[in-house]
Amino acid sequence: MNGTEFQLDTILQRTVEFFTFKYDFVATTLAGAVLVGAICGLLGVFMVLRRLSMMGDAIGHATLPGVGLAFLVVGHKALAPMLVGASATGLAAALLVGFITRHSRTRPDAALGIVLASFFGLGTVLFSAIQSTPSGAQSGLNDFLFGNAAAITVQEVALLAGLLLTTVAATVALFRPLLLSTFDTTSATLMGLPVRWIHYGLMATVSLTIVASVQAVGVVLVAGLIILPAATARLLSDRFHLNLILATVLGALSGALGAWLSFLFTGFSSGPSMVLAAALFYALALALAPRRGLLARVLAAARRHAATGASTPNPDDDDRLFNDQTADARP
Amino acid sequence: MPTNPPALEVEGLTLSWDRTPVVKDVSFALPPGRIVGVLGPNGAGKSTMLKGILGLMPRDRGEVRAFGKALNKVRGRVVYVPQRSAVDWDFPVTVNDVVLMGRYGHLGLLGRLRANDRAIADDAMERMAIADLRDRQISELSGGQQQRVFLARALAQQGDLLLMDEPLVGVDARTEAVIIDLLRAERDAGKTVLIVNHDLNTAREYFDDLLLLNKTVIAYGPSEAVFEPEALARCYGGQLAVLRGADGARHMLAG
Repeated sequence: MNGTEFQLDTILQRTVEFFTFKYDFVATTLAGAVLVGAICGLLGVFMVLRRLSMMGDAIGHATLPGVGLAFLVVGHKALAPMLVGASATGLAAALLVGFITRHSRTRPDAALGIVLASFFGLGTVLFSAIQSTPSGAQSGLNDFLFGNAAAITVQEVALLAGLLLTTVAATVALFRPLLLSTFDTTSATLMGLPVRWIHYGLMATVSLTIVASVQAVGVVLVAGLIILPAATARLLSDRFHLNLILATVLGALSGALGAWLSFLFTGFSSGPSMVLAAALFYALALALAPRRGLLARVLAAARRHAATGASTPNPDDDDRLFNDQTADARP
Repeated sequence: MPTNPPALEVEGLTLSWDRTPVVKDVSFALPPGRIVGVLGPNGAGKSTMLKGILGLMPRDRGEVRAFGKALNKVRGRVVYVPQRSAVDWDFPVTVNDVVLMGRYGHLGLLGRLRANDRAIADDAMERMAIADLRDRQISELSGGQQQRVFLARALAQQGDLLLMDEPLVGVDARTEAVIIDLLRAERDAGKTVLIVNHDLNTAREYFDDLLLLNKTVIAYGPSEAVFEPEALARCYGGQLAVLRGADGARHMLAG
């Protein structure tokens, strides 16, 4: 099997192999990819609506030096030390962004860029050093850059499943405080909700999720899996709870599609495949979403044009949105 | 302990942004059952003062008490209506969702909405004439309708002291009338309203008392007494122009 086999029957055969779990690792791969997509999608809704999308990117990139340091300390690839290392540097990056923003004239977007680049630069240097050692070259550490869902272990699947269950349970239990603190932080604070703890809890969950996800998607593109399903869901629904559900499902589907693509075409890293699947959903929603999609808007505009061209303009046919505005403005 | 403590007491409040003082040594006390307008030129620190009172920014100095107690002891009785621009109106929530948020403070962290909470929100939407918009996503509203959504949420909170930041800016005439009617009804029910506003022309008509602010309190008292050219000139400085209309009425313009 190599990356040049694009014949239809081969693709079909490989697809059947994938979804019938012909190889032992496929079930683990698929489960891991679906879980990663689902949890990133769910948390992404909060991150996008809180305008913290790029924080996920910074945390993702910042896990790299943690993984490298863990390898240098332990001397081989082991799950627990790497999770600890990645969490430490990922969280440090998140806190550093907040610190720089509060205590300097540097604005948040620049602070994110500074932290992302510095941590990723450090990670890359560490990895170059590790790769030049005999044990490092064989370590599969490169998977952490772009992801290799096939290398997901059963322990990682268990960790991801636990994380998803906890996040879903917390989201259901704390639905209202989460909604209010995301929509209107000031009012949430004044109503006595623990806004600060909600923020830190969310950032900690996102950091843990990214750490647990980098094996499958890699540090470079994990942010895509956080932002894309949430942005797609926003195009499809105007309700908060539906955004959460849709983003979770779209994330899971992107994970499954991505894992399948990287299984089909050996050499496709799973991270880019998953993110491309998520991007495809976004593009479809952008074009075809009811009411908000480009097609729906063009059709609505054409209908208006036809109506005004054929007869006298009828304000009632005009976009419903602006009717009340004009009616309202009349004294 | 007095039988009827002021709804709001501010003593020596001093606030700064980046070490530049914006509000200096502000002191006043609001008796219950009044509508008090805060007027002052741009940059006078009106919105900053509200944030400082509510503890949304660190105070350099000063004490704030509501109903004779520290503010965090009476959170449920104090309602803040932020400027409309304070939230993202593209957020995926409906009018009904936002008005129901007024009940969240009463629910605690894990509480669920009950029929009573929904009835209170329904009543608030009815009073603000937005009941027919309840299932609209909030970006599909005019500016005036959005302001009425904020007011309905404030009503649903059922507080006794309302602090409002420019609720009349950029709204249509109907919304302005609905809001003023509401404030009078709330006052008549014994509640207290502190409202930051820009428009000098309606000040005497709308507000029982006026607080003229320019970094510090220039004048505070019943509208008729405070609204006179000398105090206004001290507050607005050169930014004030008084035009005498053909009917003899004075029109004040503030820059």
